[in-house]
Amino acid sequence: MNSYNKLYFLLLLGLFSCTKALDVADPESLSPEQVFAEVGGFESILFSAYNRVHNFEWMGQNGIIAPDVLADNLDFNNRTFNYESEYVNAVRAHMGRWELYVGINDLNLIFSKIDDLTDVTAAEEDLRQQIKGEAFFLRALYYHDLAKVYGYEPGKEVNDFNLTVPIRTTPTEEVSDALVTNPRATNTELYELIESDLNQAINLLSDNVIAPLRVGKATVHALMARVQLYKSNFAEAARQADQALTQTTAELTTVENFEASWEMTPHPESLFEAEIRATDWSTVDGANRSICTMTNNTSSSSQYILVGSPELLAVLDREPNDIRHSIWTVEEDIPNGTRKCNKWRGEQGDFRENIPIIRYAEVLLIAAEGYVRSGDDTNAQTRINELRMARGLVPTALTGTALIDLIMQERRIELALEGHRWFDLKRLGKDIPKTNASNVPNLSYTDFRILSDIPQSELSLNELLTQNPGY
Amino acid sequence: MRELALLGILCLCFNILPAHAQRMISGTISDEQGELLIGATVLAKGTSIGTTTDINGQYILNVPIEVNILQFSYLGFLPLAIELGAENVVDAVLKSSALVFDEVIVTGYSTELKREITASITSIKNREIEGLSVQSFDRAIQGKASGVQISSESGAPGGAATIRIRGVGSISAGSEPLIIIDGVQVGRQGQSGQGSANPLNGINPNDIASIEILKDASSTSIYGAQGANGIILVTTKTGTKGDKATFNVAYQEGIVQPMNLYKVMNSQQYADIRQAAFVNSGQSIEAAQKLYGDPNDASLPYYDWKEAIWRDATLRTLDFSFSGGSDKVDYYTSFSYNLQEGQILTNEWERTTGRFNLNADLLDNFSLNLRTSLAFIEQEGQPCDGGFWVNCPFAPSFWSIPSSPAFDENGDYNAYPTNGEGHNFNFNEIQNAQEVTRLGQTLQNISALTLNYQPIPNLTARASMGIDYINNKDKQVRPISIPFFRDAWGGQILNEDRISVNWNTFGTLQYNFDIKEANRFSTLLGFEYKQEDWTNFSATGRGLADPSFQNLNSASTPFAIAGTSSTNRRQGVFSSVKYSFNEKYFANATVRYDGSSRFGRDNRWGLFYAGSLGWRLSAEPFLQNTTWIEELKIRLSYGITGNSEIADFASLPQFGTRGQYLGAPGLAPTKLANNQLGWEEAEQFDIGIDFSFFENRLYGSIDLWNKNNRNLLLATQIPAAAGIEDATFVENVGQVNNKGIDFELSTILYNRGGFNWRIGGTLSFQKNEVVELNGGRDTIFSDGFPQLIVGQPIHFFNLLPFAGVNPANGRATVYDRNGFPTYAPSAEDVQVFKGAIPDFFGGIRTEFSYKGLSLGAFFQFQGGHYVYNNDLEALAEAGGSPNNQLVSQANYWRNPGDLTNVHRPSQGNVVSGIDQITFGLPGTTRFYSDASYIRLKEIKLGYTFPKTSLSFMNVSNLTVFAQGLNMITWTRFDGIDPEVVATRHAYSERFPFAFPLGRQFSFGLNMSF
Repeated sequence: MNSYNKLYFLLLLGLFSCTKALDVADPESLSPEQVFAEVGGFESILFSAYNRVHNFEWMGQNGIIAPDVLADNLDFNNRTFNYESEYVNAVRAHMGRWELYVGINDLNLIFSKIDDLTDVTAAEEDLRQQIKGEAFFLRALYYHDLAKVYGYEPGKEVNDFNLTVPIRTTPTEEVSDALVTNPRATNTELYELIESDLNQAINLLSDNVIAPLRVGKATVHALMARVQLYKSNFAEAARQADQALTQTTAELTTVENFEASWEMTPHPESLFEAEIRATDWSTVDGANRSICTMTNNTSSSSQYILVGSPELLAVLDREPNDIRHSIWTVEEDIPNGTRKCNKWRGEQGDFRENIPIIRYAEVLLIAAEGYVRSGDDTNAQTRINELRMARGLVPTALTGTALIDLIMQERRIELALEGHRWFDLKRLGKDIPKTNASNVPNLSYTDFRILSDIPQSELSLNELLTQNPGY
Repeated sequence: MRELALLGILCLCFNILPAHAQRMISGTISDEQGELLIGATVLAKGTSIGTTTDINGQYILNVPIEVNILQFSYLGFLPLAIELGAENVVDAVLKSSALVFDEVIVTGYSTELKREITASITSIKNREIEGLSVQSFDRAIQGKASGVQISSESGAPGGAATIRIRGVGSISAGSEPLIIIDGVQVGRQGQSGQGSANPLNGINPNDIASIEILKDASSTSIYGAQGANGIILVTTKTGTKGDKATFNVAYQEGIVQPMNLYKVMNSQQYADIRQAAFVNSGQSIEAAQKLYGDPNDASLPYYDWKEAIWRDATLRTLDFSFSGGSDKVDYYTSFSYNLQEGQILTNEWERTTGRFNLNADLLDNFSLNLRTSLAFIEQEGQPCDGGFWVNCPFAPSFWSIPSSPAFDENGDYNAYPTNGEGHNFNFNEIQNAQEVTRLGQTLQNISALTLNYQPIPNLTARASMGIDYINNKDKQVRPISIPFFRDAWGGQILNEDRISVNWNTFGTLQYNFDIKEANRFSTLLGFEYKQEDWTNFSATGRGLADPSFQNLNSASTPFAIAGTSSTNRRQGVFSSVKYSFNEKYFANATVRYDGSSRFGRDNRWGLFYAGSLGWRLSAEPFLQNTTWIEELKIRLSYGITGNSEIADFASLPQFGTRGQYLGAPGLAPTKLANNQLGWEEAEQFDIGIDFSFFENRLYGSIDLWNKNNRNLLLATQIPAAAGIEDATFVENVGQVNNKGIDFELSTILYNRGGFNWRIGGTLSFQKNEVVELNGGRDTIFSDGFPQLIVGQPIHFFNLLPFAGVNPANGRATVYDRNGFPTYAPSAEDVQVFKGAIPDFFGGIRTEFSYKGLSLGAFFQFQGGHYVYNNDLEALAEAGGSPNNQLVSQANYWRNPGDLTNVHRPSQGNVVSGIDQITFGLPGTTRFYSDASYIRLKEIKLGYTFPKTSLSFMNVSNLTVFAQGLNMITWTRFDGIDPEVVATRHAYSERFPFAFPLGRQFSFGLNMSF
């Protein structure tokens, strides 16, 4: 019997020492091989890159609000800690955009792997070209926002400081890729990459059918127009803008539907609009991470801290018939002279709404500015008057500097609370005016706080990086 | 199926085996006064067969026929050996001493006599923890074992505690010891998410017979890959064979009080500092007074939020147990009810436990042990555990605006704040605490079945299977009666369901043999398999028509669902050999080969081993004549153990779902692979002495140890520009050294005429240092600042040295790297400051007793460590936000020449673009403070009635007592509770407004029939 006993124990030991018992799979993850096996896998990666556009740190909130708070479009109505240091341009209180690299890596993965797919059907081939086109557009959008925040525009350098963010065009697939560090590129190098990406997107994308929630060719021209404007390449900006306007299916809103258009999904003027769904947010995101919680009191749980500054509204009030008055309402409990903005009201519920990233009016304004700054007042007038008439104003016959001033004034009013004010001043090398209520002096263009600081965490991990001057 | 097959095979093979010759010995063990001793040990000499006496001092033991000596022992008594005659009833009378060397100590997979142990093990018996009004045993043993630092993470009833055995050896891998309850390795998953929950809450501390803490490599290496952080073995109570049934009841009732809360401003002081901030930021006095009133107006409304949110709460425990046995079977069964309210509004913790322990001799040489327990825990109104959360009452109890009453004149809730300003997200914290449901219900079963078979004398085969099952259900209801929840979502219900099934099985063969009497060998061979699986599921619904709806069915809109699961498996084989010569020289060797599913295929298996030596000098002839030495032993051990406490799939590259677009899921890389990921190893050396001197009036042990954690696992940051969502990867980064010295000492200062005075204590010194980082690095950075530096401890703070407030203009200044005060420091000015790991810790116990009367006190202390008090970033910011402030902030800078540490108030604390609190960097030493403390942790006055006075009502024991916990704390810490704050800082993160411990008073009685 003893021998049986020992046998059983040996048997048991045998049962449990098979290594297979230690092979377990993660039920929530795929291996890279599984993802790269089909075009659909690449489309999913692309969706992730689209989804990141409405991240709260980017266009979901900060990218819309910070450029107006850092400049002079908004004043405080209430205080909840948010944007208080940006309001007074505190040191290191700027726009952080470094996390855009996560989206860039998504896109780099697509570029490096999608052409390895073999045995694709004709339909899959079309989809492959479209995905690549959209990916090039998105990478240009991501890099352009990094360029706007961390570096000076080409030709607008202070003390010849021309460094911008590092360029990464290959994906991080393993740890060794992650540890390859790049120095900061120059602003012209980065703009070359952005333009090259946009040109590739133009070649790859066929039409506008999928706009505005995904991008078509017209959207790429629109972004190219914006990029040329930032490069002070005005004639080309106007040309690209005109191409976008011709090709797009988006329509300029009118006096009749201007106010209502801000409740519409998608916005009729959108050439590109970031889509948000309920599942994109955790339960607390609405009150903290939406745009409308900061600027409106649609809900009693809104923070409702920011309102239009008297300085901005004084510009609007120059022309009383302006239909854009309809989205600025005087409220009882907010500081005298300020008004509440009704562009962002979370019309989809729970503070949610799609976010127009590029819309028709911006493209018109780019065209007008591009023409006027390249000496073509006639075409500039045509473009700006198209907008002015749609806003209930009389056409202008101004020319020269006066026309430039009018276009910049239109730009400020039309694009208030859409993430442009700070960058429009910066790309032209202008000082940043501050509101009276902020109680801080204007920020000179040569002040180091015009550029955001490079995150300390990146400096400590990448010896090739240098901090922006002054930090 | 495999498990069933296993049990089937085991049952089969045991049942068909023949009986072996044994005899049953029974009797009582008493002291010289005839008092029966409960829990005294009986051991059949030369074997590991033993038992303990029951509540009536009785024992029954099946002794192999060839054994002719029984050994009796009990803490504080001299051991006794009795030769067996024909008589089967053997009563023993033990003589009092302080001797602890003949106790039976539970070690990994077996038991040993303390005298023969060559490892560093602390054994804590039930009388040191029984009757304390704590919810989990880890809090009861705080300060009672040297080298074991236990500190609460949260003062919440049932809240978690951190246990570190011999230093902090790891960062990203867990540093928690493995806890084994009656052979079941308990897991840490499946706990409630509604506040802090201690994974040990499922065990009623009063069911515990003993706790053994294995500290050195020679004792832990038998657990191989799980041994690096030490092992805690918990053994629950059993009955005694042949004993009549005993019924024991214990009842306790008391109160819990907050201690040492902050003092905050009244309405006038608050209006004054806010007005100053307004005016200094260019706003008008009128604007300030419109919100806060005139600081000189004595009639401003005032509401004491702190008084309304903190409270005196109730605690109540009721325990009863039965134990006894027949000649073949003994049992222990218990039920307990435990209520503990938190010292903060609506917070409550309730537990019901049941336990059934059974030992049965099925055949003469085949026995069964069953240990099973069930606990149901309900955490009600449990607020979150702390943090700057507005819907969590800790911070708002201090920072809510004092001139904004919670109730209107009709007793209804006011909208908060009454001045209409945006503060605390407009939560009326009283309403929030009262109306939000945060309910956590947890059901936990820990069960083990062990079969023992002795085919021949000295050979014991054992098979054991244990399971730890936890099911937690959380419910959070955010009703529409609270404006925020009404407007945002129309109310919300969140249900979460977590299940963790964690089972392990092991089999051992133990063979003991002698060679020529003097050479004794004990050998052990075994295998073990462990599997942990957990799943979480949650669902959220919105749109509730009425605040009283509590179920998801009442929600009109399904909002979100989520589910996740994970698994890991481990298996290993192990063996040990123990040798002793003449009970004078001892040697011990252990080896274990372990595999874990968490490691990459190439690095899955690890070999762990240890050896130890012991020399009992007191048994040597040259010390026989030294009368003051009763016992003296030197121990030496060395070994390698492993740590596999990392995430389940850490080595694999992963793509996961990331968001959606247009309704289709997005995919993105979430984590990078690390094929080289390998085991973290701990190499430990220990030298110790055990001693007992002066007729056993002074006894204890001293251990000197040195532990190197090699291949330290760390989630190292990679550049964010690499574009990976989780911008870290787990790597083996280097080596950490911990070394220390542990003292355990007990003395009997006086023992005459029935008066007895004992003092004992533990004291540990430890030093922690990063000795090497791989790849020639001397620093590893996290978030831009050093996380590990060669030559520094594993935890430190990165701070700016605060240089005070400039008397000329009221601006806060810090010292730059050259030691000059500056307003605008840069990242290079941040310096390293000493962290939150204590240099020393321990406890001192003293006890007086006279006849039935006893008075005991226990002091617990930790020292030499520092914390950053995050609370003050909100409460000591000179009125820079609408937060109410500490009264001390009223001394803010007003005029040139003012000498104060409180800067000139301004909105948002920003002056010329500089944040006066953090300077846009990780903060300053302004809120950095010494966290050393000594605490009168326990004090207890008890009276045990003489037996003679009780006999008429058939009561065998009656004790009444009054006790207090956390009575007094001596500290220089500038916050509420240094213990919980330091724990959070050292082992997780800076954590503001942690739930502090409360002070408890209770009285109670114990009665046995």
